[in-house]
Amino acid sequence: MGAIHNLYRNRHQLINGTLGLLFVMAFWHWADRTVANESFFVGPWKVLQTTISLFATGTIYPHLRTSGWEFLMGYGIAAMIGISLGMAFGMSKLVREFLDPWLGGLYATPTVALAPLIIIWFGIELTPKIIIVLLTAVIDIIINTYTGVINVGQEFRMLGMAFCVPKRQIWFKILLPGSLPYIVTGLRLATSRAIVGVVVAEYFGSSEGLGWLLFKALDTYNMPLMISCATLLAGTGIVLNQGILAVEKTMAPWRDTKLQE
Amino acid sequence: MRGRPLTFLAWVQSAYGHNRMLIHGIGSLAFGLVLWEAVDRWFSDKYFFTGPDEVIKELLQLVRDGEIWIHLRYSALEGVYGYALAAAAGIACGAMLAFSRTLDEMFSPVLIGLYATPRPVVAPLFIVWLGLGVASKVAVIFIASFFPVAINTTAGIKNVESEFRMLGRAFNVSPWAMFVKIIVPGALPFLIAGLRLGYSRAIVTIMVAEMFGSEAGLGYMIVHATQVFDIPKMMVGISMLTLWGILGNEVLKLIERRATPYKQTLGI
Amino acid sequence: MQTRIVVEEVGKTYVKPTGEVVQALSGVGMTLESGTFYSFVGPSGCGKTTLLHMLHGLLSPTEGQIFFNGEKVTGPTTNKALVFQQALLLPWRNVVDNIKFGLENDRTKSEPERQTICERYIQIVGLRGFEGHYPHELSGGMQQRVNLARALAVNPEILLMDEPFGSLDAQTRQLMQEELQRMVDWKRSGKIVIFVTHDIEEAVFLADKVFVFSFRPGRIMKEIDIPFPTPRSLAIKEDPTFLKIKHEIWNLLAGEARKAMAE
Repeated sequence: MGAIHNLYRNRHQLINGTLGLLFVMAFWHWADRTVANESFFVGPWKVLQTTISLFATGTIYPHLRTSGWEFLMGYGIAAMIGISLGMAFGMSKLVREFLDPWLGGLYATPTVALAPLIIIWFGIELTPKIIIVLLTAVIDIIINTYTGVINVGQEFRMLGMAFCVPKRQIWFKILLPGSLPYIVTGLRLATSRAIVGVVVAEYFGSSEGLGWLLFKALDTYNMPLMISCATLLAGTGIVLNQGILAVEKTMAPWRDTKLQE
Repeated sequence: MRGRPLTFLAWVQSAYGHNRMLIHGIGSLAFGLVLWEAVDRWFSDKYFFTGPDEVIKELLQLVRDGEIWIHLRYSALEGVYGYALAAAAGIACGAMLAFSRTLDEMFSPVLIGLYATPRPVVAPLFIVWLGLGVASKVAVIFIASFFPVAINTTAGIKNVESEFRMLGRAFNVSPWAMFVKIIVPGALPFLIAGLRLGYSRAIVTIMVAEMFGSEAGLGYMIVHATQVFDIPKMMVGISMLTLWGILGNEVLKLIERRATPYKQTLGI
Repeated sequence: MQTRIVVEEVGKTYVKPTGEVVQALSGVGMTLESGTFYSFVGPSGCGKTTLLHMLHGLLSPTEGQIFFNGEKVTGPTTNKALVFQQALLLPWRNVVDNIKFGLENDRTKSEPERQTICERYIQIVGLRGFEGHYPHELSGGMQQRVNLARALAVNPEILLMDEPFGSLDAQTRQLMQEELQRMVDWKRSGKIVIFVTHDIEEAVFLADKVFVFSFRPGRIMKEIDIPFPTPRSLAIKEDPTFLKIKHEIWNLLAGEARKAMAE
């Protein structure tokens, strides 16, 4: 609920937002009527029906479980590595100077392109998929944590020194809380990337998962199933994104969260 | 300071001090390459791992038989059309939302929702609709880059402080001058951030879009090489895409520094 | 015991990243006694903030030495507290927790004791009712009150204030000057208070003794004892003696300020 409240700050916005959504739905429905070809285009109603039947028959659960597990593991490890590396970047000049070219390279590398290579190296089990998800998600977390630590600023460190705060406490009392909102932003941006990672990883070698189901649907031209899978994946992305956005806003009310990345 | 006799040690120290960043950067890259080669030697199994030398050999081979040009041209075509259209449409739509409150309230939530949609999800749809050719990829790349550009444009224009607008009004500035002198420069940092993000998404999407079905292209080349376990060829494709990513990012960074020299950046 | 600070021929030279060598401070000597309020006044760039940071131990002098009760100052200690120019409140802590920031490092006190101390200083600086507010919800004047309370809460023997009213509006500034005397109460507690400012009137109004600094390299041009008894009311700013001292300092500083402006 918090997310929705934040998205629509007042009733005026809520009404207009709903209108916008209805408009998009109506357009979708109209396009469906006009095209009237189920192997080519399906409307919102048919997608809803398909999705419900996927859950009702239980066929979706194994796929959800597989993809969910890949996502959680990859994303979780990415969070741990990303936050530690970002902190290291922000705090040590040596790390920064030595690893900056690699960070820049990683930022510019389309990490999904590495997916086939990783599948070849690590097989088609769970491990390579976790690595792919990890690789796609980690960069946003590193960069945002890094920015956060830099932004906490020299003067706050001086404050800690002036009041004789021990070194390790400066970390807990100043650097970590100060960069936390940025870290959460990084975690939020990483969710969408991690979902891309899940889908791409499942493409290159899998027999289960939402991404795999999507490809199967594409192969058999099963339009309703395809859009149903797409909606589920997109919905997960949107819910995670908005959920974390709400956390960001309650956590750091002093910082206005703008949509700049 | 000047005039003090310069000993060799002092010279080394000062040279190191002045070029610290550069020396560490080069050292770090060299370290990476040596590590790569070392891992390659250690994994004597050529089936799984390739060193930099074999990748270069493969690249020369692909250049000689001309195959690489087909893929490069194909992907470049997709990328350029998709990204250019997304940038133009993104800036236009973003500006529209920023100037109309009602439109903003109606469509911003939809936009933000679609922005969070993972791109591989839309790729198959467009292949069904538009076929295996360039058109479907242009559409997917468009979708990928459009949203960050549009959302950042809106945020940028809305972010121009109302004080600055008041400043414009106080000096009786015409609406056109207000736009050119206050709103555009104020929104520029956000706009460029959006363009950079859109670019990095476009490069990823070249790979993702071609993965699902294509006639040629770097992503297509990588996927095909994977199927026959041709690791050097895969690496050539990955390196090419990475190179595009890095080059484009550097160009946009340069534009960013030129256009907004007053803004501090991280160097990424 | 009488606490005292002795500053012996202190100077500070630093090298800018461009390689330029800057002498910020040179040949400064002074003796500071407890229960006294000192003001450092001078043009921007006279090194008065640098001296303040050296007295605290955040910076160390490149020439000369600073002694506190006979011991050389080598780093920050808990018996010295700094009030910052920008309030530097941690945005994620509310008023109480910001005031507690320095106190938390005092291992000899229990949490309830710290709470009691905090409440006392909230009362003293007049922030009752704002305990749960976050810095972004406070006005500039209130932020400076928190800044001051944070420093006072550690009960320092030396209170160092770096132009704390610099960013306040003129009226708030006047009122804060008057209130500061009650809030710090250095005569009774025997603190040494050092107040850095470039506002001559503020320096004279608050201090028992004013040190006037020259432009770079900063040196002491003159020490002036202010004869008015404390606590003072804002009315003394109209007193002929007050105005005479103010003009004397301005005459000393006018040339220095011009040099500073030309930089």
